[in-house]
Amino acid sequence: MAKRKNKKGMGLTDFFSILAIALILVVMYSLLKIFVGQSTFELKGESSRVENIISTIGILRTPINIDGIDANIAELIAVSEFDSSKRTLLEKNLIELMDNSFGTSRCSVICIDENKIESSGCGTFQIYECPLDAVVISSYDKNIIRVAFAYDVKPLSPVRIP
Amino acid sequence: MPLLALLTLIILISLFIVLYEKNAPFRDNPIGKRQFDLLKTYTKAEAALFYIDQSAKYSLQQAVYDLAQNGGVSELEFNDFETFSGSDCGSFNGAYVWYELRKDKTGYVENSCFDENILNTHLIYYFNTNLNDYLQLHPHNIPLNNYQYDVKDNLEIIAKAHEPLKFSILKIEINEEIRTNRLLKEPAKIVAEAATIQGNLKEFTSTPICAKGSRCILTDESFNQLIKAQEKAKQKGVSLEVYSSYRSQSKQEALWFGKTPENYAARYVDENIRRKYVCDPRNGEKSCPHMSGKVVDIRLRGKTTRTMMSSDWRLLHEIMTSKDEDNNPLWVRYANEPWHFECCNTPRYERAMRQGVTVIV
Repeated sequence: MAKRKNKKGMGLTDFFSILAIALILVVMYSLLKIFVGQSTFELKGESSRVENIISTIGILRTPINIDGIDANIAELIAVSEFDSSKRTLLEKNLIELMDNSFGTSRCSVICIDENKIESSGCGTFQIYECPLDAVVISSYDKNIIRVAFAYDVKPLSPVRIP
Repeated sequence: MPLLALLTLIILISLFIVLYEKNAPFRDNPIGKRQFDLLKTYTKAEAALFYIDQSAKYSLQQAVYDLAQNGGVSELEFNDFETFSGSDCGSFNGAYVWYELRKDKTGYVENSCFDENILNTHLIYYFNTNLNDYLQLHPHNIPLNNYQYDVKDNLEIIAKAHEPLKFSILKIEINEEIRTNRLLKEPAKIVAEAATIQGNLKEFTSTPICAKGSRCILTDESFNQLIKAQEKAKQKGVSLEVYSSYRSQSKQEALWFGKTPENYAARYVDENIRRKYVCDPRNGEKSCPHMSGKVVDIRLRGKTTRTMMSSDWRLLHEIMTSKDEDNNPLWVRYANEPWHFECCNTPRYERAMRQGVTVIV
């Protein structure tokens, strides 16, 4: 004769088993959360760094006519180091270039050594930082000039006092 | 039901182990990193090529100016005291003489000294010197004297590179200054950065004891002697910098046959005179010790041959000729050149040993 099953006992075992499964799930989820961390590598960040360098080279290669001579933006930068009258021309051309290529709805910044030029999309009373990744170009006096460009730059929290 | 709980536990533990193990290499090299490294290297190389293009443009403009200012003649600098222009009539009041009118017993003798045929040689020399100045400033290690030039009509210079520009894709980016200081403090670590290129030759280009833009290669034994000398330099609070080392047969032939910007063959058509300034590779290592890989042209780091003072040369000599464990000098110096040292039983080193000196002709 088959032994009768204790229904109450079965219920308890089931209850503890389900509880154990739930506990295991919670513990394992916590362990995964703790030990299997996230990568610090940001694809978006890396992508914008590469894009900015490519854009900087593109800007520097842009042809321009300086006093009837065919040159490029890099040469205009080198000339303006010595000829201050060319600085206004350089600034005007760079702002135009940034506005036309990257739009006026976002802020683009180009830094030539310490000198910062902002596009029309930048807030007048906002402070923007120079980009970190720079392209090195040569100057006429056998020196180097660092040119760094970034678009869609976010302003720093403090604002300029008007 | 208990069996199901046990099964869940086993499955989840296995899953945890698998995920945990997968995560370990993932942290160092996440998906997409290699691809971005490749793209970043491409942009670095593109920026360097743009820099070279611009520098070449400015160098040519400056070379034309320099050449005109110097009367169409360039001067080769052998050292601080000796230069050579190749002009037969020399200079008058600082300007090179193009046409000489001399009086002797027979009357007036006319002599045309300006050789238009080697004008391009002078232009290229100036151009290359200017370009080197620019390339040395670039943050990346761009090889100097790396081009073979050809002048086309209307002042166009075509340059063909001997060595390619090298950029490491997988190298971990660390601050160059930190790396340099670490290696100079522990010269033994430079050994790990050197690579065997063929047979017993070691290349240590891009290490802090090789000058920027130079390609540094020595034999194993000579390289070890150099590391020992760097240890001694460290004790004196300075560092060494090699700017010329092993020269291959083809490189030495290029020098001799005028395939370099100096164009010795055009400047010194007479081989006997040329031999005074460049060694003839046809006689092998005997006349060209640089071809042995046991010779260095060296200076103190942070100085150039022009800025090395006599006290610096003395200190360099003291460091390089310091004694090894067998009480033999690490290197011996060629008497005519304060930067030229030889080691490891070159004929000059052996002669110096026999005579018990550390400086020898």
